Amino acid sequence: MLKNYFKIAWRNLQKHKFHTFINVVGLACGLSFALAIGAYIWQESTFDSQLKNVNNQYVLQSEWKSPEMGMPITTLGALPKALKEEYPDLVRNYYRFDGITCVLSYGDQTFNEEAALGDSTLLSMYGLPLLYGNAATALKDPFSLVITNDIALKYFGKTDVLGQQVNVKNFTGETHPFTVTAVLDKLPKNSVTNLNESLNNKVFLSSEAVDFFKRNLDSWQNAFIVGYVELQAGISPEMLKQPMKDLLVKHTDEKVVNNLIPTLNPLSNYHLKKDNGLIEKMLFTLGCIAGFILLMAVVNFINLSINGSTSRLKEIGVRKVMGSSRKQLGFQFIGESVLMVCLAFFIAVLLYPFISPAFSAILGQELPKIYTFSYSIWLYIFLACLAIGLSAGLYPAFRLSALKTINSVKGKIPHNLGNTSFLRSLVGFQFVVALSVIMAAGIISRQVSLFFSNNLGYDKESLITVKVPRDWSETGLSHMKAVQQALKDLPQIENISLSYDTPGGQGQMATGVLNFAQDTGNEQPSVSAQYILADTSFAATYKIPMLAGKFLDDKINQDLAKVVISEKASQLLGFKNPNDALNQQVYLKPNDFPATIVGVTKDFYAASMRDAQTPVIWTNIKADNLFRYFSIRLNAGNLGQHLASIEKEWKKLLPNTPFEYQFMDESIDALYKTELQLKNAAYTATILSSLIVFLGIVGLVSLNVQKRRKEIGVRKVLGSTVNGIISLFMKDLLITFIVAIVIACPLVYLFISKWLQSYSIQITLTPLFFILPILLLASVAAAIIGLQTVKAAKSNPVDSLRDE
Amino acid sequence: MIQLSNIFKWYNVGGNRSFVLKDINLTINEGEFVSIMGPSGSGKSTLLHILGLLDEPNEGSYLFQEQEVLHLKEKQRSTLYKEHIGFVFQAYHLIDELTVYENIETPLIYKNLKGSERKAIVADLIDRFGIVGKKDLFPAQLSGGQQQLVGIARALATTPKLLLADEPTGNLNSKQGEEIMELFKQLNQEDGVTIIQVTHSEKNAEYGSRIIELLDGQVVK
Repeated sequence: MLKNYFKIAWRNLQKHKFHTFINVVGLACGLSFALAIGAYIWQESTFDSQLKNVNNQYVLQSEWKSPEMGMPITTLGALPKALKEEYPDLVRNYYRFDGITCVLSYGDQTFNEEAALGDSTLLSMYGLPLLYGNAATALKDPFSLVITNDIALKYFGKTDVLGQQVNVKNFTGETHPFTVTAVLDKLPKNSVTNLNESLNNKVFLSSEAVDFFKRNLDSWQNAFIVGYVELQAGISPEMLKQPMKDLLVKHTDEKVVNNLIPTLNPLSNYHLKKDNGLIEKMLFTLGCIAGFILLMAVVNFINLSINGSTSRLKEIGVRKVMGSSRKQLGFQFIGESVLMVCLAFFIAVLLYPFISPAFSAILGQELPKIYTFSYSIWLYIFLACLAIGLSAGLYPAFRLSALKTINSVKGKIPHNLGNTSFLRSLVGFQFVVALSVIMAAGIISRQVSLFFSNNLGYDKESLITVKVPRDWSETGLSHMKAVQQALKDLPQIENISLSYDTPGGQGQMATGVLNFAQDTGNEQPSVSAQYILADTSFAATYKIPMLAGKFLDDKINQDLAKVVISEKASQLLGFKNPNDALNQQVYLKPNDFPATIVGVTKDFYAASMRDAQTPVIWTNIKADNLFRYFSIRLNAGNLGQHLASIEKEWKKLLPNTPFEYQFMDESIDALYKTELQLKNAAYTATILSSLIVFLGIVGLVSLNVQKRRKEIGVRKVLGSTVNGIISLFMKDLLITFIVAIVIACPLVYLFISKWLQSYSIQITLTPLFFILPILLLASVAAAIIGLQTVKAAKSNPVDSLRDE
Repeated sequence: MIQLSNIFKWYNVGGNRSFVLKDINLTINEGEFVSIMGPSGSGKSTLLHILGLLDEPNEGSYLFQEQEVLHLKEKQRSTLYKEHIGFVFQAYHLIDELTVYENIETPLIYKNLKGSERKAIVADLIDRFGIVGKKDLFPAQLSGGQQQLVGIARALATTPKLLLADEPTGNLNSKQGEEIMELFKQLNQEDGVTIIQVTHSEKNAEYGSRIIELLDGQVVK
């Protein structure tokens, strides 16, 4: 029996090749999209799952009452260690690291590397996979070095490099050979080596090396250490609240105790929840898009299946007369559609390796390989196949097998079949989704392009940033100043500035904020501003216009700082006119250091455009000797050649420092990663949903044409023109389309305006955003209907009017 | 074998009843070969459909082997089809996607016969109907007469007691028609199959042992 069904199903699919083709291809498109997005969601939501004991692993972070006291993602250096030593019943283990950038050189290769200077517990605590070396001893020696396989390949061209030596330079310029004691295999995605975008460590140094780098992990004053703890089984993070408080009281001063709440965030969902759940929200959005696309594809599949099965009414009738029960017929139809869905899934799985690079580009992240899918995923896929097949097969299984046998045998399509409000609402639903997706994609891309247009308040074109060696001493600074002067003399460089931070660029302003006020005392209302330590040419290099006064100068007064503030900051201080702020005295918190305002700049976006323009305050790097970047504005011309000549000069001036530059445009891209993902996903969804909705129209119209053949014949005999008949079918879908517009517009308006609200700078929603997609979809749909019906409208009425 | 009493069938057209069958009373015994005749619209097809349980009358009773068979459940009806009734259609109604062999096999599959038994029965039938050479062809590759032969073979596969035929020769030329009628006669006389056929042709009707004439939904002879 099964064999018979199978044979029939297969031959049927073959017989209606075109029909099978659109049906399977439409579904396969939807399924591949859903599979790719699903794989991405799976990957992101199991981010840390491969870490050992992940359910007991926590990252120790901080909630500071005033933001200038420390960073939220780090903790006090001594806290994790003290927790483990004083509360061994609660805390099983800890790992801390200080994120540093150091220069590694091997032979003639020199690169900047992000490195984690941290505890030796790293390898054993998380069970990170080792290619070579011993997890227990690898990080014991002060000059030991653990690297990932790609770093090994980068420097040595192979991974079997135990015992090899690499020269590492510290911040004062000394170098020391470090010995490779372990090589890590490709790391699973995790928040220990990759806490966020800017902390992606591939080089691990021992905590014993702190002296060489002049860092301090064990200090209660150092609030910039990334800390992790593993709790004992059965211990909840709440149980550590009091112990942590007690430790703070015991070891720190009153100010820290009052301002700091240490928080334990579980690694099991840290990746999803970080940055206010940015990733989780993104995944939810992507999931919704994929879900709707899949739903559309399924609806289409159901539509086309019903459409196709009506041509098999005769077979149904004959089978019934031969003694088939309805149940058997039902099984047959369901079996066939399950078979078809499996075929589509098979195609989708085959396509996956080909489309995943495209999706990696869209999502800005690599998708998991298909062989890494877990069994549960395959089970879900199988269940999904079954469910989709069932729902598509159910209608023909129940509706068609219940028709009167005599009508079926005669091949009479019942009047109400396929014209039901059910089928109409399915197509209406498709219209709604397609319209919404097209409208949303248009609006999203406009909004996103706003971020990249040149309205940041500074000129981002031909601007690069280069990391400089950080020798934070007076000699270090004067050396860097000399380099700066030499570079400035190059004809390729228009301007160059040395600073600790750069706007927008590296994702976050590492120095954070500086509070200042017009009065002394901590109780006074103060302004928190983005804090940029820069040299005198910063505003000129970035082309940030001055509204009043001048930018910083190099005349340093040890008792009175000079600051430049942005317009916003001067407004927040209460000055109506920027000129009023000039030469006014302010006090820099928390020490109430006096400062004079020497200039006021125009506002610009120092961080992301998601937030409003923040107030900004500058002080001269000369006062603190802190610097990290050169910002270089290139002259017009061939950028590639410019960069090559600058690199040549750089090699002469700083032979041991790699020339690693980043264009400001690229840094800004990185800043809007999720928005770009959303935009690209919306584009893909637009293409797919349009494709699917058009397939849906094809299905519905061909069913209608089939059913109304006689009517077309009669109308033609009565004198209707071809156009008249085509418009008959258009009218049919017009009402559905109008209803879809009425539903889609407010829906999109509601969601999009909510989405736009999260940005301080927004595009204005004009009716055009809604009208254009409607016209677009309507005209393509009309063209499709026209093409499909023109054949029926032109056919000779004799054929359609003849009765058997 | 068959007893119809007071069968009425009507359609409501604009509030009036338009009768298709009016008070049909009919007894058909086992082994008969009955031809139903009548002009277009006389209700002969409807009568055959009612006899074949494809359609239900508005009033009346239908005893098949002393059992009331109107208002049967789906399942019981399909059992009747499987065990007792075979159909032959004017337009053959073979399943286009199945070969000759598979078409004849299908009713046996529904009867839950084993593969080997099915093979024996189908082989016997195609041998008897002389279509051995055609068994792997699809219906579209056969002539009308050959298709109807397959249709009859399929109807006989389950060895039904009753064979219902709706204009079995309607789409055939006269020579093919004669062959089919000869076959029917042979089935009736040698195998004892009760046959009821609807036909337009006087000549075909003569093959039967009894002729029922319908006019405007009533039996006139």
